[in-house]
Amino acid sequence: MAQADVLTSLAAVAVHNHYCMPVVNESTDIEIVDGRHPVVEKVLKNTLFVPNDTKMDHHDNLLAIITGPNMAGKSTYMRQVALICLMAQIGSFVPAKIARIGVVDRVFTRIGASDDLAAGQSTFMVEMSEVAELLKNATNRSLLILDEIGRGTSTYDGMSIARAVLEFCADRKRLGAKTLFATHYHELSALEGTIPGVKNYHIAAKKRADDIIFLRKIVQGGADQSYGIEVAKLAGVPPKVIRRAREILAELEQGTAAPAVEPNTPSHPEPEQVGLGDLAAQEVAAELRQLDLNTLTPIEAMNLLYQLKRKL
Amino acid sequence: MAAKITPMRKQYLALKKKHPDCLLFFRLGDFYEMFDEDARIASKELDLTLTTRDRNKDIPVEDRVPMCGVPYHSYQSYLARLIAKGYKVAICEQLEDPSVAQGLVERDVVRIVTPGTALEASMLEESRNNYIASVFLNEDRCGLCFCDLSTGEVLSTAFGGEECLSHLLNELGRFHPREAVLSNQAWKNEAVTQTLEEKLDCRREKGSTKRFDFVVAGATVSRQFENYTVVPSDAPEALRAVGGMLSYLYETQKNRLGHLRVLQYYSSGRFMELDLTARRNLELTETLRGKEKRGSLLWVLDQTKTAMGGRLLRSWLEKPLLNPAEIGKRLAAVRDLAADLVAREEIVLCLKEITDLERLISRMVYGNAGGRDLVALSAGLHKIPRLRELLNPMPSSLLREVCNQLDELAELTNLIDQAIVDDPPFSVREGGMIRDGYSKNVDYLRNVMTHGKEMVAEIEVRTKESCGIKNIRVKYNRVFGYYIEVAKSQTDLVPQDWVRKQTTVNAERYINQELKDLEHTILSAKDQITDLEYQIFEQVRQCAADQVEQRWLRLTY
Repeated sequence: MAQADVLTSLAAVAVHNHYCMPVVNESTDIEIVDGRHPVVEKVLKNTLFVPNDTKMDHHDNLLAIITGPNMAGKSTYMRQVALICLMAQIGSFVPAKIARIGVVDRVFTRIGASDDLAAGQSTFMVEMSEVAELLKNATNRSLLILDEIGRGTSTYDGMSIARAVLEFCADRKRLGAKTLFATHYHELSALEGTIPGVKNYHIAAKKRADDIIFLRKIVQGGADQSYGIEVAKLAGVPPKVIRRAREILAELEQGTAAPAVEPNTPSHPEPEQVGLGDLAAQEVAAELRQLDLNTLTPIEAMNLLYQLKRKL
Repeated sequence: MAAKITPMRKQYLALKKKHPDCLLFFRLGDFYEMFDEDARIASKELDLTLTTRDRNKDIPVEDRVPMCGVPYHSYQSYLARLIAKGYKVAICEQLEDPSVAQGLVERDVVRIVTPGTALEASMLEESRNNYIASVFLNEDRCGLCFCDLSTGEVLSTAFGGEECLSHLLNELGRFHPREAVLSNQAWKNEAVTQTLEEKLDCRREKGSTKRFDFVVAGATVSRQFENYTVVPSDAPEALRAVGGMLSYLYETQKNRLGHLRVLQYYSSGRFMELDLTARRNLELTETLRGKEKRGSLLWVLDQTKTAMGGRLLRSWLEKPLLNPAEIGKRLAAVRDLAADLVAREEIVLCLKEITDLERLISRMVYGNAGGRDLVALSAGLHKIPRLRELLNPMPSSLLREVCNQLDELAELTNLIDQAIVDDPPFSVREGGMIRDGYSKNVDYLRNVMTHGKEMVAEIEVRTKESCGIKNIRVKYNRVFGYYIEVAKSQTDLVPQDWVRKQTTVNAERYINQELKDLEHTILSAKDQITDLEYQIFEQVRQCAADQVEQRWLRLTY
């Protein structure tokens, strides 16, 4: 009776939400045409959910590096792939036009870790213990969802860890598991072509004047720009700060090492104040000079801007 | 000076000594009382006033025994709150009728309620299983058993190897038990206890070595489950886990657990493995932030109409399959159902009428089902033939299997329909449950209650005729009840066996056996009928429980 109920429920959901019947087999390939995220498309009642294709196998498409700013929908896309596999394997139809799923033995995720903060462990520690668990237990039939590995530590440490994990996952002699790897380290895009099976993807974005529109469409190739400032603007950072950030970015891109901030000459020649202002400006300038904008996540950029502004 | 110990206090202390880890609900008349430390805990957790029975005695305040209590007719909600907070509660009842008993009423614990063994609807979530786990761990292998007492499901597995521990944690995460019985080594294992306590908020119970002993476990398991051989011989750890579980259940339930009939064994490798992190991140059954169903995958997929279906869907989501053939069978069934809108809609209509049969059956086997439960059972079973008709033409092999398993238990529904009224009262002790025409005795008593006066009149007429006395009246007074009044002029016609009770100016008053019987019947009919109805109800319930046990529990899985 319970089975009749569940099967009827799945059928009703399939018809109502326009799912398709997946082909599930013993292969190692995952091929999804026009896949959608089952929950997000339900929540977005009025807006159209942008479907995406997925192709993963044990040959040329083993590991996908996905770059792009956070709001663009990387996480949604990666979860969507995992959920479609899972739905297919419980015997449900799936939100896609066509889906061919080679059975996945385990799904591993490494996505943000805000929920364990209360338990007193540091974010980075949690992140790394999850990575450790995952690398120990995954098999080549597993599906790995890795979001922003190495973000919890300093830039170089983080990038090194991210790259090492990526190499381990893609190496057929070691793990060789289908992996979706989202990262803000654009440098990792260079690995396409050097490691077999690694492909670059990014979320398409359109820049109109100073504004940005995320198309939420995943396309091949590395992202050309990080759009961090545009995201900051979308998020409501005050226009003054945005304008200033653009100036700084432009100067950095030109490679000019000139002080980014004109020292304010105060109108009242009070010695202490002059001294302080100078000091702050110099400090900010020095920090900006050291900064490598390419390695910043949007949130880090915003935090930095905030700190810089407070110093002035 | 300590107070003199009363016999009842002695009785209490003896029972408390036997159940030191439980809060003891000690039945005193219309209340369940708690004493000492139990009273302090309960008064805090339940916001009850702490009082004492020693108020008027000449003893210092600090030596007075603290006490608090809850009324027996509404104890369930208090019990539910304590259980939700992870307490174990021993229910102690009066085993004798206090009005009949000589001296101190005999009392004993009849059941221990724990988070993992709750059966009352108020303590269960309809859409999810209430699992209790049993974990047996030795050096390199692990045996596991999960049981939902409210539905009768029992599952077991065993595994070893390098990933033994992480696999164990994943399984615990998957079933999310409310309570776990742990073998010695499992109890000492930090990863296990931490996962249970911090991540799963699960009550832990330390099981003695004896509970998990291989020989003892083997014997208990084979006694409880006819199909105990499903556990492969190379998985003794599974058997030990099941044994550990059973010994804990016998101890707490004090019942032979007749509804636990089928033992299931599954091997790892049949299901996709998901660790707690993945389960949470993918938001399968609840959202990461709000812990709500809305916004999870389950929320999108759940259009089930019965509580049983809701639980099954959740369990499917928590264990996706690995075998393409098995997956294909389900997909084909979904395809057939998706293709036939008309049949699907009608199936939904049928399903909507069906109550939570699994939990209802458990309540029936336990003996605490009411009249409404039986009627609900029958109403649910009545839908089965139609459901079968609808499913039968579908080509899917899985739907065919489902069809063959559906058994409407026609004899049982007939029995219930004949015996029980359509809308029985909530309580089984108030009468009004048994349908007219089912029992001659009940019908007679009901007739007496509603037609008492007419029956008296009828006796009057009949006596007039048989004795030939014209001036006869049957009357009633408070002193000697019903009597026959005969005019003085005709007293010589009165039969010998009448007994004269009173003489008035113009008449004599008599009683006879027939009248006394009727009087007794009329006056006691109400008591008699409730007792009789309860007896009949118990027979029907027992009969239903037997049939369900015999035919259904075997087919369900």
